Amino acid sequence: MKESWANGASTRSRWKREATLPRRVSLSAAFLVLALGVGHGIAKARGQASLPAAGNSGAPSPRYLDPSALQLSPNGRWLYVVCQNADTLLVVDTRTQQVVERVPVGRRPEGIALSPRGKTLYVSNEWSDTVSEIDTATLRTVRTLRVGSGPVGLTTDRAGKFLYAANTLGDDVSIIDLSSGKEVKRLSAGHFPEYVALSQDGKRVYVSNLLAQLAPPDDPPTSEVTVIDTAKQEVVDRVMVPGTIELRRIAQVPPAEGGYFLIPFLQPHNLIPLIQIRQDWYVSHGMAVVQPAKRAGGKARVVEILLDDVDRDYADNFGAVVTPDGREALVTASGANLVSVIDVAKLNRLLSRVPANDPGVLADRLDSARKFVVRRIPTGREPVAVVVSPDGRTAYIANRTDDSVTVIDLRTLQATSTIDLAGRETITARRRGQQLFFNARFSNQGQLACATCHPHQGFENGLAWSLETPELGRDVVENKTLLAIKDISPYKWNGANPNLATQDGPRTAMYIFRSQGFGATEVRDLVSFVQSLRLPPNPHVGPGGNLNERQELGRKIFFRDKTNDGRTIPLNERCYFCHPPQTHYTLRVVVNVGTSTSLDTNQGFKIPQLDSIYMRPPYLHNGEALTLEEIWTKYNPDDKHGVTSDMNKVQLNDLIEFLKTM
Amino acid sequence: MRFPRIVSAAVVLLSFWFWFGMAKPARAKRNPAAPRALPPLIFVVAPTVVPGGLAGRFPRGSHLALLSPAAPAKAPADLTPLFFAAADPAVSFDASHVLFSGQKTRGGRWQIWEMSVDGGGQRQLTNCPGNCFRPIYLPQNQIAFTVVSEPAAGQKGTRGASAIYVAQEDGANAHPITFGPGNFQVETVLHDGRLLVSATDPLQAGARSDARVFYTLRPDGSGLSLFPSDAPSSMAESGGEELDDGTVLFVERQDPRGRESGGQLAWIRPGALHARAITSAKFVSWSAHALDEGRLIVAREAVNSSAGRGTFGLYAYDLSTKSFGETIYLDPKLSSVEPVPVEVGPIPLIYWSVLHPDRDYGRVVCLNAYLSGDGPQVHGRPRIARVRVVALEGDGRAKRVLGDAPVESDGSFYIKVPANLPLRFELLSRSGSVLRAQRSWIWARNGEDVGCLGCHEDKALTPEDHWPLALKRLDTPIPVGLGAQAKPEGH
Repeated sequence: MKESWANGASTRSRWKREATLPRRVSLSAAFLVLALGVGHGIAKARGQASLPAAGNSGAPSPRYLDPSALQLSPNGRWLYVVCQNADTLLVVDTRTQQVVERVPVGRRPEGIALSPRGKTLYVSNEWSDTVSEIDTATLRTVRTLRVGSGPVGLTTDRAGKFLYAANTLGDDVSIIDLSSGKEVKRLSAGHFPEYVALSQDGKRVYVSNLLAQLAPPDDPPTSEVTVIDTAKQEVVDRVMVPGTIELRRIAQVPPAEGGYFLIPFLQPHNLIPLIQIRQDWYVSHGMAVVQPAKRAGGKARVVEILLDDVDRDYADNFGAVVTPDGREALVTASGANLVSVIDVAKLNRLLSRVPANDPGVLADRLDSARKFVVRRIPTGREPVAVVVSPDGRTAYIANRTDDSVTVIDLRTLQATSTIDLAGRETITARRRGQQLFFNARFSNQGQLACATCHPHQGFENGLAWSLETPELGRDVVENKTLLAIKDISPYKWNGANPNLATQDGPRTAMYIFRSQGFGATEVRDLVSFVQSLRLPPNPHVGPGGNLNERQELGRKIFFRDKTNDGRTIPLNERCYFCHPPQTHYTLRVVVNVGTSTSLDTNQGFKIPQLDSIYMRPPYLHNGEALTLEEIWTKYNPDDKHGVTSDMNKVQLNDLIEFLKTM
Repeated sequence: MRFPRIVSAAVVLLSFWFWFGMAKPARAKRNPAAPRALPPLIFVVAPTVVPGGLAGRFPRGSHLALLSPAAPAKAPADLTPLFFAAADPAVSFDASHVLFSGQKTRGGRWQIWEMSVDGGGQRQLTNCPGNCFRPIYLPQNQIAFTVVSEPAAGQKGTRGASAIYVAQEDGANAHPITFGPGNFQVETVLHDGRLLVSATDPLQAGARSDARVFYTLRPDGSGLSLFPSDAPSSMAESGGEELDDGTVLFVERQDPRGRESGGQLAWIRPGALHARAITSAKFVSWSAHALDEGRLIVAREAVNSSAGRGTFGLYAYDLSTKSFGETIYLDPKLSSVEPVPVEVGPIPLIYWSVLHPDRDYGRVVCLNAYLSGDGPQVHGRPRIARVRVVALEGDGRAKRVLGDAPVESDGSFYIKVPANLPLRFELLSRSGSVLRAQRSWIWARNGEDVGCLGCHEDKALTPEDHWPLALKRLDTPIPVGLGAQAKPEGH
C-alpha cells in the first residue's frame, strides 16, 4: 500500500481505493458471509463461542482507534483487536474480515492475553491500572482486576490460574491469582517493563523492558529481559542485552527449531556525535536472540542481530511472531511500515556460526539480515503487532495509525487484503501529525522517526545524546519528554528554540534527520500532535488529589522560605521560585544552577518542568543524577540549585515524595 | 426446507467463485497483461561509439533524437540538428525539459545546454573553460555536471582531470563540489538526494587504469562515501541509474583499461555490498534506464541482425526473467544509446546543507583509527600514536605534509583541517613509522564535520557506542595545516 501525504486532504478515501480487494477475494467474502449464517448455527449447536451479527459495529468510530495489540481465538476465527485510543476491544471475524463487535474496556488499553482454553480475554488498561477480564462467549467484562501502575503486557500461566501484568510506570510485574482476582505478588523488573511472553514449556515468563538500566551518561545502554519462574513466582534471571534500548514484543521459536526468543530492539549510538547519522548506523534496528539457560542456574545466552541492511534502515522494530511450525518469524518495523520475514532455518545456520565465546560477533554487522530475511512486505502505517493463525497460513498486522489490519498470506508472502477497522473517517491535522511522528522516511536512510527517541508515544528514552553543537562531543544532553509540553516554551536544554515549530522544522531536518525533513504543513501537523500528548495519570497522587502525610511534609519543604536553622532563603533560591506550580513547575528561563561540566559550552540550562518527574529518571541536563536524591546529594554542593544542604535524609525523602505527586 | 436452499445458494456461489474468482486470475497469469505503452524516448544517435573519456565517445558526432511511440513508423526526430555533437540527455522531474551536453562545432568545447522536450528553446547554461558533460537535474532548481579540464600544456594525448560542479538551473553560480584527483563524474541523483558519482579507484592521481568505483556525496560536496560495492574493476560506462526499489544499475566494464565499448549490465541491490552482473557476457550493453515496472530500456550491441558489429540498438529488458525482450529501436547504420523516457519522475529528497561558507576549515573526527582498512598492514596491533595529514596542492602533483595530531588510546582523533583541499591521513607509531596510510584522497568542505570510523573502513560495520576520548579533550579539535588565519568558530 502506498502512502499518501496529501496536505490538508483526507487520505482515507485514497487509502480505501488502494486497499480494495481483488474481485476473487470480494466474491469469496460474499460467499463466506453467506456461509457464516450456516456456520453460526453450527457453532451454536456445538456450543462454541459465537458472536452477534455486526449490528452497529460497521459504523465509523468517532475517535481514531489506534489498534495496538492483537490476539486470535484458538480456532483462528476471531481476531481481537485492542484499540488504544478508543478504550475498546474490537472483535473481527477473520472469515468476513469485518468488525463484528466492540467491547468497552478501561482507559488506554494496551495489552491482551487469552486464557489457555480461550474462554477468557484479559485486556490491560494502562491509564486505569486495571485489567479487564472478558468472557469470550458473551463478550462482557466480568471483572476488573487491579494491577500495578501502567500495565501493558499480559500473559497467563499455562494452567490459567495466574495472570502476569507488566507495569510500565511501576517497573514491576503484578501476579494476579485469577481465582480470587487479587494481586498476590509484585516482582521487580527492569526499567519500564512493557511486554511479556510465557515460554512454550510454561515454566518461565519473559519480560522485555523498554528503557535501559539507569547508568552514568557516558556508559552505553544496557537493557534487561526479566525472567520469572512460574512455579516459584520469582525472578530467576535478569538477561542483559548490551548496547540496546526499546526491547519490544517477544516471540519464541519452537524447541525443535531452537527454542530461543526473539525480541526486537533499538541499538543507539548516542555517545557518538550526531553528525554520524550521515552514515547509516547512527541508530540501528535489530533483535535479540535469547537462548534460555540449558540447565537450572545456568545463564541465558544473547546474540544480537541487526535487521537493517547496509545503507538502508528498517526503523523501530516492534511486533514479533513465529509461525506454529517454526519455519518463519515476522518482525514488524513500525517506522518503516513493513514486516520483515525471517527464514528461521537460515537464521539458525547463521547462529550456528556464532562462536560460543563471542556471542556479540553479529551485533555490529549490517550484512547479516540479507542472509535470513527473505522478504520485506509493506504494511499500513505503524505496524506494531503481529499474530499468526493457528494453521500458520495467515498473519495479521495491526497498523496503529491507520486503524487497519494488514492480512498476509504466508504461503505467497504477499499482503492479500487490509481490514478497515472503521475508525474516525476524517483525517485531522493531529492525526497526520501522529502518522508523521512514527514515520522514519524523513530521516537519512530511514534511520529514525520522532518516535524512535521518544518511545511509548512521546516518552523520553533515558539516554544522553551527543548532539551537534559548536564543538563535537560537547553538550551531551538528556533526551526530553514530549508529554504535556505545549505551554512550556522555550525548548531544548539551552532554551534556544522559541516554539515547537522551530524545534521540529528545519533544525530537525538539517541536524537530526540529515534529510529533507518535514515541510511547513507537515510541521504544523506534527506540532498539533505533539501538543496533544498528555501525561498518564500519576499513581503517586491519592484519591481526590489529596497528599499523604509524607507528601504534605515534602510540600512544605518545597514551599519553605527558611532553612532548618531559621535563616531566610533568598527568594530566587527557593524551590518554587524556579519551579512555580502555575506553569508546570518551570519558570521557562535559562539559569545556571552549577550543574554544567567542563564539556558543556553552556553554563545555564532551561529550567525543566516537573510534571510527572517521577517517571523521568535520569535527571539534570546530562542525565548525571540517576535519582532525584542525587540532584541534591551529589550535584548541588554549593546550594546553587536551591538551598538543600541543610536538609536531613528524612526531609529529602519527604521532598521527593512530594515531587513525585507533580 | 431452508437449510437445503441455503446450501444450494452456497453451491451456486461457490461455482461462481471458482469461475470468476479463481479461473480468471489463472487465465490472466497465462496471458500476462501487455506492458503499458512506451513513453516518448530521447536518446543519442551516433555513427560510432567508442570507449574512453567523455569527450571522445562520439568521435564522428552525434545527435539527440526523440522517438514517439505514438508514431512508430515515423523516424525519430533530430532534436539537435544545429550541433556538431550532442549527448547525455537528462529529463527534468516534470518531464518538460531536457539537459544535455552539446558541441556546437567540430573541435569546439562541450557545454551544458537545456531545451524543451520537443527540442525548442535551446539555451546554453555553462561556459566551461574545459568541456562539460553529464548534466543532471537536482531538487531546489539546481543542476550538477562533470567538468573535464583541458590537458596540461605538454600533455597532448592525455585526458584532462574531471570534477563535479553544481550550479543553479540557469547555469549561474557554478562551483566545484569535488576536490580530489579521482576524475569524478556524475552518474545520477539518488532518491534520497545524494549524488551517485564515479571516480577512479582509489581516487589516486595517476591511477594506472580506468577502473572506476561509485561514491556518494551531498549536493554541497560534503559526505563523500564509498558506495557499497567492492568490485574494483567496475565502471559505469554510461551512468548509474537507480530503480524505484533502490537498486543501482550500471554497465560493468570488463576491461579495466577501457579498450572495448560497453560491457555487461550489472546491479547493486539494496543492502548489498557487491555488484552482480545480470546480463550474459555475449550481450554488450552501453547504458540502461528504468522503463516501467520490472522493465528496463537498454542500449545494447545488436546481434543476429543486419546491423554491423559495434552498432547499438534499444531493447527492452525484463528484470524478473533477466532476459532481453522486444527491440524498441534499431537503426542498422547508426548506434542508438543513452535512452531516457520522457515522463514525470519522483523528485529526490532535498538535502539541507549545513556548511558554513565563512569557515575556511572543516573538522574531521575519527572514531577508531584501528578499524582502518588501508594498508600497509602491520602485524599485531601496534599502538597508533599520531595522525599525519598530507595534502595535495597546486596542480595535484605536489604533496605537502600539513602536520600531525595525537591519536587517543581508543583510536580516536579530532582535528581541524583546511577546507576544500585533497587530504589523506597516515597513522604513525610513537617512533614515527607509518602503520597505516590512506590511499585515497578526501576533503572537508567549509565548516563540514567529517566523521568516519577509520580510513576505508568496513561498510557493514557499526561502531561501538562509545564517547571518543578525543572528544573529551578540551583542546580539540587540533588545528593541522591551519595558521593563525583560521577563523574562530562562533557559538
